[in-house]
Amino acid sequence: MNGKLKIYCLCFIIIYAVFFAHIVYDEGKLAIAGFEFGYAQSATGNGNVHVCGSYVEPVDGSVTFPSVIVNEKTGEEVHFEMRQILAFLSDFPENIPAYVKIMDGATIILSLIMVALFIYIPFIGYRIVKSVAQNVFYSIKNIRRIRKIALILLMIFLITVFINLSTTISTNAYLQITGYRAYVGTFDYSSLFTGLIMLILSEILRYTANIKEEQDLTV
Amino acid sequence: MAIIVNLDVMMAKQKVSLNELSQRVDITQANLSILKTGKAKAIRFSTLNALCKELDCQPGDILEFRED
Repeated sequence: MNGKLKIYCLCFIIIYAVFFAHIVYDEGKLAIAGFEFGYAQSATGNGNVHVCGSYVEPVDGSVTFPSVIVNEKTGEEVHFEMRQILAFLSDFPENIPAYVKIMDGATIILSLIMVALFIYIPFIGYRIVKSVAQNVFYSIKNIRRIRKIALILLMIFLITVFINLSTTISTNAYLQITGYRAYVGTFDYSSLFTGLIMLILSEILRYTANIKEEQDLTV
Repeated sequence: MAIIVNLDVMMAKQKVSLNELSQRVDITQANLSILKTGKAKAIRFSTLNALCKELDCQPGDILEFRED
């Protein structure tokens, strides 16, 4: 295998492993805590709880600092504003619209799909590296694989957008915090940009592969 | 494709084998086979020149246009 390719692959594996481990550690804590809590609640018969997680902004606009906390180091009151919340509700309005409940369900399903897609990407990457290691650079299969990764990244972006919108709508339906409102916040555009760049790259590679095929079949 | 390569016909007329022709025109057998089977996408003037010289024919004898 090409030396540079080895280094790039090694970097990719390390970064992806760290990234995935971080996600599993970060989200795993929440998942385990949620499961344990739900299990305990089901034992008491009170399992009707809801957790809202969303970006929030002050009703009067950003940087208006509507909340107050005490700085325990100096004892003075400090004005602040929240950017994100994670709220646990054991009592919530009865008249939650059906579409909000459907969106909540869809969010859970799409989150699981997103995890599956994140696991699937390295497998496609492995197949590309394997074929390149066998000196097959411009194969149609490889181009399709790159295209597939690009489409998966675009799909991940769309899923995150949906989840963001869904959690915002859900939080607004379940919760009203004084001085704040839930809002969509910023999307993570990195997967969108990477997906689009890879899509462009796959088209360039397809063009190159066609030129190479023509060159190979010129006698 | 609309362009038909009649190399096999010319080879049969001249009673020359693929191996022999490939040695005479200095092209690999694999490439000559691509040309003979019609898989080639293009042909260089130098190749056409060498083939015409060895098979004692015109380019039109090797290449033919047929409506699809």
